[in-house]
Amino acid sequence: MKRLKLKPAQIAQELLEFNNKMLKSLETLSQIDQVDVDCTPFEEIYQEDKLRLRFYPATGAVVQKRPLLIVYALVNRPYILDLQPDRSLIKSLTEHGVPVYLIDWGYPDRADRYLDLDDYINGYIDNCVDKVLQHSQQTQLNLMGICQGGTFSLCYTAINPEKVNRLITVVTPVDFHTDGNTLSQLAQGVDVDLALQSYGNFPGHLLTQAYNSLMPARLGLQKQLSLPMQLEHRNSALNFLRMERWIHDSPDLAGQAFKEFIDNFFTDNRFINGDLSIGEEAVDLSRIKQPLLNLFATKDHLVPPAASKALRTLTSSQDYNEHPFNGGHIGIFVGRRSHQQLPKLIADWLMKGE
Amino acid sequence: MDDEQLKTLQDWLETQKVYWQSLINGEDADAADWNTLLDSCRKMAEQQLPPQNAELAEAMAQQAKGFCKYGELLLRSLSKENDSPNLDEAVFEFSRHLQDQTGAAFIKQWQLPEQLSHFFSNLGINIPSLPGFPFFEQGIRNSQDHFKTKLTEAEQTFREFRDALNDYVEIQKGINHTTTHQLLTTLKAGEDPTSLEDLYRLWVDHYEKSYLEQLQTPGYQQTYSRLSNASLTLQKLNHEYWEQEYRSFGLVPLKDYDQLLERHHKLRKSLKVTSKKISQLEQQLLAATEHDRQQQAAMATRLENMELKLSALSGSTLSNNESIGE
Repeated sequence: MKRLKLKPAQIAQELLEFNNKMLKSLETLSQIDQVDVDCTPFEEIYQEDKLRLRFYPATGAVVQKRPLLIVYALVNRPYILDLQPDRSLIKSLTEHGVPVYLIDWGYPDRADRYLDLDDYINGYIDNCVDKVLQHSQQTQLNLMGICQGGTFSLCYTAINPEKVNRLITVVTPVDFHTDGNTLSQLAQGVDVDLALQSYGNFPGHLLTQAYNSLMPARLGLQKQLSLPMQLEHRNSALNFLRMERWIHDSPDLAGQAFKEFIDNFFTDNRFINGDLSIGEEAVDLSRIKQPLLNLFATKDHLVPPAASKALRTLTSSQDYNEHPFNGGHIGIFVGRRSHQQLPKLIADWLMKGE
Repeated sequence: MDDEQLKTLQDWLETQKVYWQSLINGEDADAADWNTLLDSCRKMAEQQLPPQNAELAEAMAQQAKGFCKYGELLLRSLSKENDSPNLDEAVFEFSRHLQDQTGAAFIKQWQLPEQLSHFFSNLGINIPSLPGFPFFEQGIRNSQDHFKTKLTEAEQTFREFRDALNDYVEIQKGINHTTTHQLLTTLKAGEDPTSLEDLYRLWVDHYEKSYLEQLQTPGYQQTYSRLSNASLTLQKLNHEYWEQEYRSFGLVPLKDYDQLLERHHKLRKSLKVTSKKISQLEQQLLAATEHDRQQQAAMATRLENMELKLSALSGSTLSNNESIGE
């Protein structure tokens, strides 16, 4: 009869090491007061309601003329792009000569519950684009949308093609009904109206909970078991704590915008099925003729590759490029390997449009 | 962490070390008291750690307790020379242990918030005690009728929540069952975990696989929706209840505040549209004015040219006349 081949002495040793590391981790935790994020210096050039527009000047030897405006998702905070000096997409881009502007959406509260997609896309983003053009003294900019921010950027570029020179989408959902899109499948049945009647805005912590529930054992049990290994030494503990801070720093989502996003994209899949309007502006992706770089992660469980790759046939761009990154939804920004490749890939591609 | 705390924790680990060795030897020894560790963590968290670190310390200590619990169980079994557990027994025991852990996390996820528990405690005959807000109690006494009308709805919704939760628990049990059997199949096929951690990793891999399979079935999705929506309905009922209470105390309920916000948002939107229109009109006016100015300038230039031509013409006519006269 087959038995487990583990040896008692080996198990005892493992328990000892595990607990030893745990005690060291407790000591390390007690020596860390705070974790810093947002490591790259920036200048705030515009503010509107809770939104802030940041400018990170290029520091490279060769500075590109056209600025890059990054539109992050409303979900979570954009400092994942600038988590720490050795894992900062923003810092690396500026070092590659790209002048970067970033929209920080802030933390919506009850007063923002009626903000809709029209406010975000035709209002906030358009105003930021104008400010960036004014600040950089250019007539066109490059736009990079991340996740939901990519969906917004596609809408914006389709409505205002004359203002965008090149468009980059990163882990961006386009087709919300591809096979294996479990997040979308789960979202279909949840009564969003009821959620908004109950909460006003959609609570960020519920969204974090929903993301975690897609892989409960890996993100729960396995992650917790790895804590003594992650927290034993100060540097690895700081890395881990920064990520933890980001994961749990999830702003509430403005109620009306959230509902419209769920209805238009998760339910009606309007990029694919057509008939999408943002406010009074019709969104027709075939109006996008700009060079387009579509980046996705091969192991993304939130936005499966197929959901991003659907963009290929929807625009009129004659210069459409795709690039897969090995990793998950967040790993593309903070993973060691992708951090070595991503900034250079983006900077080189943007340089072609200078 | 001060020296005293550090010493307490090191002593605790030393006792554990002796205990594990005794288990290997098949002897009896006292295990260290996990409460010593957990209390020490709690004390440290309260006194020295920021909230995020405190939560991690607590989670880590709880997880370590679970990890050791199964490790010790296995040690005890393996140390019996002729009676070590067969694979089936060991895996079933392991799965039971992990089900307890994942079950606790799962229940925490779907636990009703404290305010809702208050709400349900209100569903009984007893009037709730709300320390610090004695005037609320009187208010609630006065609004019993309203309270009772909500009772039936709340009971129905709560029943739906409970039924959905039961169905969800059944699905979870199914996932655990599949995980256990698939893990067993893998181990029997020859994959031998090299450590306790490796065994956990294998279990997690199998759990996620069977969980994902379930996640994609309509049955799971329906149950998830029912559970989410029942939970949201309970939240909504709770809000509605307090809306009424707020109003009866002369306070502005959120509903009214929301109406104001909605009106404010609509006004702001119409202001933006109007501003945009005004700006467009201003630009058109500017363009028209510029066009007029250019036309006037062109007209003036033309007139000037005509005058010049006329004067040139009249000059040449005069000179012609003069030459004729001569």
